[in-house]
Amino acid sequence: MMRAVKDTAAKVDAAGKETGAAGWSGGAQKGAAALGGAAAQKGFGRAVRDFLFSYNSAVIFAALLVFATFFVNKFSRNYSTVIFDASIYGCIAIGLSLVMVTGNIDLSVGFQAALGAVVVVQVSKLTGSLPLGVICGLAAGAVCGALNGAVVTRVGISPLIATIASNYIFKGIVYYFTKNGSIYPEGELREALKNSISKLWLGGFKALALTVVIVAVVLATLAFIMRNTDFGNNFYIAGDNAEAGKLAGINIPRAQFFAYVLCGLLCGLAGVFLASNSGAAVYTQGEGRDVFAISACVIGGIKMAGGKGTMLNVLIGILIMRIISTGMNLMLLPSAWVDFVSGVLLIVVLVIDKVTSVKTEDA
Amino acid sequence: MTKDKQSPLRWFFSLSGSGVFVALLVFIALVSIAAPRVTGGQFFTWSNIIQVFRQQTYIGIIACGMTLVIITGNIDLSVGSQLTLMTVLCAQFSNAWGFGNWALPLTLLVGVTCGLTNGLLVSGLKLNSFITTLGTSSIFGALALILVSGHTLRAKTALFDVIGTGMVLGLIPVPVVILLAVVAVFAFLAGRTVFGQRLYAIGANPVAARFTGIKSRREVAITYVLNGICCAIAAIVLLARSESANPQIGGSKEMDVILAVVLGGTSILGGKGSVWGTVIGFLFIGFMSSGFSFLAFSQYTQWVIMGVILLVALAADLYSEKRGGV
Amino acid sequence: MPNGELGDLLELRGIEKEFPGVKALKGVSFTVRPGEIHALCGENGAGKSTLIKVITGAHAHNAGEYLVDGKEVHFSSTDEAIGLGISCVYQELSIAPQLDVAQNLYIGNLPRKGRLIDHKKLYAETSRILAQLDLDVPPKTPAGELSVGQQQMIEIGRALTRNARCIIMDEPTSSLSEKEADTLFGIIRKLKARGIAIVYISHKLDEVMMLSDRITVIRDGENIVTQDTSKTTQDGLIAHMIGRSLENMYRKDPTEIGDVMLSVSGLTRPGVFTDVGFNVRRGEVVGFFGLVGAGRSEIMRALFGVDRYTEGEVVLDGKRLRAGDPPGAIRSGLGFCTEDRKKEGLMLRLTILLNATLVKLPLMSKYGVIDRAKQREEAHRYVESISIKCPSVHQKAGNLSGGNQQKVVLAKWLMLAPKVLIVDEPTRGIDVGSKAEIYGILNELAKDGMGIIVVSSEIEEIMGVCDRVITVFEGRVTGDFPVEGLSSDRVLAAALGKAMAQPTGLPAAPPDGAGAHTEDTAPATTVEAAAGTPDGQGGDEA
Repeated sequence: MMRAVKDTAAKVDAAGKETGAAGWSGGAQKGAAALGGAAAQKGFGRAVRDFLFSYNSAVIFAALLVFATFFVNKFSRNYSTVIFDASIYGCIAIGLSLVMVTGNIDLSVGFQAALGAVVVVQVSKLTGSLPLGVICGLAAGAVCGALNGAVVTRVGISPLIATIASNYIFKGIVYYFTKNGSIYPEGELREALKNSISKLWLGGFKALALTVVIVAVVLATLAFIMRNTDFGNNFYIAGDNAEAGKLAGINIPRAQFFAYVLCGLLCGLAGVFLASNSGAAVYTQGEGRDVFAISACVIGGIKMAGGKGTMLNVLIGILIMRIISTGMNLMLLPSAWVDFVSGVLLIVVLVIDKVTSVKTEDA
Repeated sequence: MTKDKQSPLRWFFSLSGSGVFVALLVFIALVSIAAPRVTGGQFFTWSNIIQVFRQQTYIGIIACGMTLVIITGNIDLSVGSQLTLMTVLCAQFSNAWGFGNWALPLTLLVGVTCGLTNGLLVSGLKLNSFITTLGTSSIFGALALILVSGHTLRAKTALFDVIGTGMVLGLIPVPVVILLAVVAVFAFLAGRTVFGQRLYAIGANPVAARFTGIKSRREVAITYVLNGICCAIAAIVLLARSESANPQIGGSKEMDVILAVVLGGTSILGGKGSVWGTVIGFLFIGFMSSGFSFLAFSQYTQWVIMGVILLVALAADLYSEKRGGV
Repeated sequence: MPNGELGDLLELRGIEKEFPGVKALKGVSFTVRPGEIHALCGENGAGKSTLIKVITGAHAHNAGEYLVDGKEVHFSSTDEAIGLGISCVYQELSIAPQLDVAQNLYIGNLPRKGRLIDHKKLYAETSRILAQLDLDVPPKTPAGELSVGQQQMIEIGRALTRNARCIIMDEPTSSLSEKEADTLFGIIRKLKARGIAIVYISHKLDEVMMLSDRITVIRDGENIVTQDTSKTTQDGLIAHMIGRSLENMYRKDPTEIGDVMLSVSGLTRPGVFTDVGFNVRRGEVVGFFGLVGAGRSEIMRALFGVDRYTEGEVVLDGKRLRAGDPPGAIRSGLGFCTEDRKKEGLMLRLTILLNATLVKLPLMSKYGVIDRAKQREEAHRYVESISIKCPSVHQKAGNLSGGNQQKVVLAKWLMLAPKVLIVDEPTRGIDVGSKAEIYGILNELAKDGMGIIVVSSEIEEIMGVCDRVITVFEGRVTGDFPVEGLSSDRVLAAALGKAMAQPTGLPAAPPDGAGAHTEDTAPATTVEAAAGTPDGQGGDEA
């Protein structure tokens, strides 16, 4: 093991691709190896630094949690709020992470969610059935995702621009229904909507709201699929070296397509949560969510270029963002500070990543 | 053996944005015919054209700077926030902090600073421009809110009045003149200067650019600074026109700007495009918008159609590139 | 023509393959026996890669028969060929750098338990295959951390996971160090012992002679010969491959050689090159020769400034060049045509006009504004003078042929009239006609007083075009010889680090009839050809 570590440390990464893993995917062994081999050769201080760099997202998370618990008033009473909010906002980030792992991007996630909310409300108004509305909301999300997927994989348009375009389309549809306000079902239906999903707390714990449970199940399922099925594994291959995948007979475009569809589905789910949380579909629900989602993914350790990142990364990223947000709320700071800090954090993470990948070269 | 001229038709269609230009002309023609029947208004009038230019002014100004950034293969997602920040700061400078007309150069300075920040991060540290400017977007937007604590402010000097409501030659509003000036400067920069041509080289092949002795870092940083200056100019114009600064304005303006640039034929991958194309891009958006209201379409329908048109334009571009070689 | 025998693994008969405008294969026959190492040799453009594509199923043949195990096949995809046990390790590796070794080995082919991936089996099997390949790397290492040689082993391992019965290797040692190449040869022999056939494509005749059982030579899309290696000589091989006289290719008119223009001394970059020193005189063509990976291009890049060096000095026409400053080097009169014109030399999306004038642009402008008339005029002048074939300078550079693209790169530098021009592999991948044209251009430039450095891996090219040859081995200059009276053996030996030849002073007068020397030396095409087997030879540095 030690010799192997020394060998691998001595190999220069010719391709220059980033190998600093800001997350836990396969990191355990590397971490142990880094610690073990490094400690023996480079000294303890450097070993600690290597460890910190390889796990920066988890470290940031732990540090924030500790800081918030001890220094922010009443934070320890708000763990459940953090978790609850994380589930609602985080759904989108989870979907986006799938797309990012395949090496693409999706800027329209915010309005896909808003569209989901709109469909839930409209359909339940029209049919009087909430469950049907929910199903249609999910389906709407999946359709949006399919549109994105088709444009990117079949037509071949760059994902950045393609999803800017689809963002306009979804935005237009959402605003068409909500105009400058919100839409909601009437009377009983409204009550049902408000009291569904997000207000169903198991055992009275906010942290165990149905939204949280659903998201936890989704996370676990996706984590399982990504690791244990060809379907999920192909996402990583698509992002890491699509050509190699194609040569090996894998249908890369199809994998990327399904990543978009799943993303859309999860955005639809987020839309359902949003509608339930507010009891309505509000036109502002779409704004700004893409920034949150992308930030959560990158801060958590998903690489922009693709091929690396696990559900754990996304989870950590979402939690980090929510801790910052909730913490600052409790410190009575205006919400602008949250944006400021998350912007700075995003850049800091990028810099750390850059620095750690350069580090792997001087062995 | 080598001819310098291609067939005129081929040359026309090789220009970026030419397809969109033709579509624009067709659209204008159609609406001009249909509008009187639908709403009774005349579409193709001088005042309406000026109105279109007016509405697109600040998007147009920023789009010029953005074009250069995209040509080098990068992107700047922070323009919306920069706009907000500078609108707010300009109002503060001129009023609350009593600098009066000095607010203008000060705002430009802020633009340079924001641009430098982006430029140093992207070209100096070689970070991914997409994520980095996403981060700076949050930072600038937050600064706007923090520095101003949410009131809307006014800018109240004579100069602002002139900028906002003045007319040149009694025909063209000052903001539009500023827009045209910016367009001219940037078109010249991109097409006729060594700096501009080097930007294309950097976007087309950054590795090869190094071997040609081009200092990519410097040129890329400059594009971001120029972009910041454009945001500053746009902020001044915006402030002058609306007489107050609202920290909520920025919104997703960056997408509108990118839309204009890409519609105009500039490739998001870099190395291809032109400022004139961008002009066609934002004019197209402007005329569409105006035309739709003449035809009594809702604004929301416009967005949907805009998105669809963008997709079609991109697909067409891909198709023609596949057929015509590189 | 070889006749198929019973028990042949693969048999191709009279294969023809046509592309729009060119017939790549005109009736080629090729057989592979189980457990044999069959080498395939031929020049660039002879049809080797097309043949391989037909064998692997990437292309379908237009005419002829292709039999596997005696049964005719018509592959419509590489998957089908892989299914029958025919795998290929290409020159460009396809490794997913962030995925681990095991994932790369079993890419697209992960072991399953039911519908799920069987991780235990994956890593167990990976360890087993790694052991077979003598590859001591933890299976969970990200593949991007491995050396090129190890990554290549992974690709071979991949073929093994697909139960390959025949593995085609395309120029496998082109990016390997000597030690890595040795390891590879060991593995190849092991595979042979297991009954796996290897089709070995290489221009390194020495390796071919050492490894293979049979050799097939292809030229111009046709078979020339298939022989048992034991009955083949290198000279004979080369004659088959080239089949024509080389003498008229290289023009080397007598040139007046003047004072020292470029002087390099003590150039060092730890781990890459050490204590490099040489001179280039006005009107002199200096060749840099060595194995792949010897460090020649790295030295040139450092000279030019895109890479740095830690010690040493570069003086051009009396002026010292700053390290790491390409614009400064260009201003002082240094030009550099890079090795890979598509990646490093041209902007394919941009016009020929812009590509050609890009470096000189500042000189064609006033206060930063370009003088378009001047720009066009210069571009046209060079397009005419070096015959770049294009309908218009406004065409995109990417649409040109290889030879014309190289000319555009040349034009780019010629416009600046550099004092010293470095050309790195100037004729790689270019057709014979354009090659001759480029040699002519270089010759003219030297006559006009330009100092030229030619980096090349083709010894005939170096000997035919240059006045002096400098050999580089593992980052050190090991020889500095005038070409007159030089034998290629001596050059090859120096390039292998064998004899340390003192840098000779230049002859007072330029050599006469320098083009005629190809007659008296054995026309060995590559370094290894004269070196014999590589076992235990490399590594003694003088």
